[in-house]
Order: sequence, then structure tokens, then C-alpha cells
Amino acid sequence: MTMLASLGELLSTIWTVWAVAVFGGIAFWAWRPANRMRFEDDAQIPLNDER
Amino acid sequence: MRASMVLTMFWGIAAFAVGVVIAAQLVWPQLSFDSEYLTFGRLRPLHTSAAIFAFGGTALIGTAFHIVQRTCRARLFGGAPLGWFVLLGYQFFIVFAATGYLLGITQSKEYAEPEWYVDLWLTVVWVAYLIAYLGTILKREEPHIYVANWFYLAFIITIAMLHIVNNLSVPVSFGGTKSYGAWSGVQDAMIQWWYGHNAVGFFLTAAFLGMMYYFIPKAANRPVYSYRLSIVHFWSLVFLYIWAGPHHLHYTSLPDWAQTLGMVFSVMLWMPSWGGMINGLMTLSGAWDKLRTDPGLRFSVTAVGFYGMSTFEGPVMSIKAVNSLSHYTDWTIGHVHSGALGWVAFIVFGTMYYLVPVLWKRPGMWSTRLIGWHYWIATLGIVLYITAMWVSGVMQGLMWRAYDELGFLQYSFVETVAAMQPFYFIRMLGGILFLSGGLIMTYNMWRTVRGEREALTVGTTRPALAA
Repeated sequence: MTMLASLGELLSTIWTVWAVAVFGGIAFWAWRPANRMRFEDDAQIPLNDER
Repeated sequence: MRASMVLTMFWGIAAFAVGVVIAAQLVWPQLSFDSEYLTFGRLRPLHTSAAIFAFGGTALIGTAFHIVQRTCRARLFGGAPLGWFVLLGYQFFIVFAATGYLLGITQSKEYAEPEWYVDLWLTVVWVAYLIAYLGTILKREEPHIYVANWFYLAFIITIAMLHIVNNLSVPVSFGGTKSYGAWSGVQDAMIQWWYGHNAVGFFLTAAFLGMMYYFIPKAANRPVYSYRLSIVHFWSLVFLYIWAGPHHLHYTSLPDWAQTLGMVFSVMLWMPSWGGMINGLMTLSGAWDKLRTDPGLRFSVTAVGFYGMSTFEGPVMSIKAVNSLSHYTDWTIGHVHSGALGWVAFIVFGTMYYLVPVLWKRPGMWSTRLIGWHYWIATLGIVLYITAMWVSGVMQGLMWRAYDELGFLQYSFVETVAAMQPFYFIRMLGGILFLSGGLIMTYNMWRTVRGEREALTVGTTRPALAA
């Protein structure tokens, strides 16, 4: 039981670090200068859908 | 699609009207006429469910199908039959739930009152909704999934998860309506508010943000201010909201660390909420003059303003020291209504003023002047409502905690009730104004739909859901 409890604690720590890292990755992806043009095109989608 | 607009309007009027009735009951309790079917306790869930699930939910189903087909450039997966099944099946859910409330059939869980048989039916409809939505995204022709769809998809998936876990229960008999929940004690309370707050976060916030990210750019005819900000807005909202539920259980038997956790995550939600608000408002930059000529867009933009205001107020109220004053008082009711009337209803009105002429192929709404009247009457109604509830709520909280010099409570409970009556009257007036605005809109919509005959025959290649 103590083994399981400590494993659970370890996993929840890893999960927190993982979640922060994923979020950081998303923010980096969103603001990466190389992606700028791509997102500007994507923003036009609702305005181009009347075709 | 058109049917969803009509149903949304119908449920909106029903929800506002029942709201006015129960507001009047709080001023004059005799108005329940000694009938068990008309008690406040039974009408109140009728009002909340009609507003959130019937009015809000029907608007979301209709707009979800509209947006996903256009931004994916694909017809709805499952076609019109699946679309109709989801829309009409959802209406059956509402009617099942509402009749249960009046007959006294309830699980007594706030915003999850319907009993097991209604919950099972909703699960079927919701899975069909997910299949139709996800199927359309999977067969899309547009390579990128537009951000509005992320918000709608997060809403559909999260509500499915919350609904199933919170409503796990064992019926007493197959012929009866009564069931017992799988959870008990403080776990039950925590799961209920994990459900309850994420119903706010994903139903009333994320989904309507999807509406904002499509219809404000559409109505303003310019792309969203920052698409990158919308990506970060989405992910930060999704990462944070799911943790905020415990702030509904401050100073209860919920462990202290869980309460603090809920508070901290609620305060962190400030950032994505305001990021989203700025993104919505700045979409108008360079087109602010449209607000003068397009009162429909004015609704949407004011909605974003109210979104910012109520997501500012919410984290403040989640702070334990503030919550010790505000909890269980009318302040909470005022906060909920600045979100529900100011944000949810206004973004729906703005969307409908744009969408109704599009769907019925009319050049515009029948009367722009009436949209303006609706706007000002409804805004005044909200202002009366929330200011009355602020005063009443803070007064209530202060009276409850007042001690005299010997350490006795200074006021009996009934004295606090009597003190609230004038504010309940003002609140009812606010509700009447909001309802009147809704009736003006209904009239305007009806005239728009009747419209001119020749406009009906204009052909289109729009991939709209049939009828």
C-alpha cells in the first residue's frame, strides 16, 4: 500500500511537470515566428467559407 | 438549422418568463398559490434548465452544425437525419426533464436535477451529437480545423464526461423514477461541483466562445485580432478550468488543500479570460463604427464585455476571504446572471440577429430600430438585476455575520429576508425588462421570417443542413 501511495505521488508529480511542459510547447508553437503566416491564413477561414 | 433558431427563441422566452415568475414569488410568496406544482423549489430548476440547457443548448447545437460545416467545407456527417435526431432528441430531453421537475422528480443535484431515465436518453443524444460533429471534422476539406471548432469540440467531449460521472446512479426499480447516486458524502459534493463548475466552464464559456470566434469575425467582416492568442486562450482555459470546482465548497468538510487549490486555479483563470476578451474586442479595431450601424454586433461586443466583467468577478468571489462574505448570498445570483444574461444571452442574440437573415435569405432583420430597442431595454434590465443583487447580497452577508457587544447574532434570519424585499422587487423589474426585450426580438424575427416572397427563391450553394 505504501508502495502504491508513493508511486501515485510520483506519478502526480510527473503529470504536473508533463502538463506544464505540454502547455509551454503549445505556447511556443503558437508564437513561433515561423508559424506567423500560417496562422494569419487560418484566421481567414470563416471569411472565406461563402464559396 | 432554421428550426434551431425558432426553438432557441421559444426556450429563451420560456426561460425568461419563468424567471420573472419566480422573481415575483420571492417578492410575494403567495404567488405559489399553495400548489405543490408551482412552488419556488420546483419552478427554479425549470428556470435554470430552460435558460442553460434549453435556450443555451439549442443555440449551441444549431450554431455548432452551422459553423462546423462552413469552416470544414464539408456537409454534416450523417446528413440531415442525424442532425435532426440530435436537435429533436435534445428537445425531448428538455421536455422529459422539465415535466419531471414540476412533478417533483429530481436528483437534487444543482444543474443535474434530471433523474436516471432522462440522463440515459441525454447520453444517447449527446453521443450522436459527438459523432455528427467529429465525423464532419474528420471528412473536412479545409486542412486546418478553425479554432471555433476546438471550443465546440471541447464542450461536447467535456460535457459527456461530466454528465456520465456525476450522474452515475442505481435506479430503485425499472418502473420507478427514483435512483440513488454512486457517490456519497464529501466525494459526492466534490464531484457535483466538479460537474457544476465545468458546466459553467465548458457549456456556458467554452462553447459560447466558439460562437464568438466565428460570428464576431463574420459580422465585423474581419479576421479575429490574433489567431495565436486564440490558440493560447483555448489551451489555457482547458488546462485551468477543470480544477476550479472546489471554490463552490469553501469552508465545508472538503479538505482545506482542495479548497485552496480551487481558489488558486480560479484566480489563474483571470489570464485566459481576459486574453479572450481582448481578442474578441480587438477584432473590432478599425471597425468600431459598425457598432453604430449594426446593433446586432453591438450585442455580441457587449457580451464580450460582460464576459470580461463576470470572469473578473468570479475569481474575486473564489478568494476565500471574499467567499466567506459572498457565499450563500444573492451576490452569487447576481454574478451568475451577469454571465447568463450579459454574456450567454447577449452573444446568442448577436449571433441570431446575424444568422436569422442569413438562414432565411433575407437582406437583414425586418427592423434595425427594434434591435436597438431590444439592446437598450435588455441592457437596462441586466443593470437593474445585478446592481440589486450586489446590494442585497452584500447586505445579507454583513447582516448574517453581525454580532452585538455580548457576542450574540445581531439579526435573526427573518430580518435579513425582510430587508431583501425591495431589492427582490428591483430584480423582478430587471427581469421584466429583459423578457420584454426578448418579446421585441421574437416579433422582429417573426416579421423577418415572413419577409418577402420573391426573396425565398434565391438559389444558393451554401452547405446548410436541410430546412
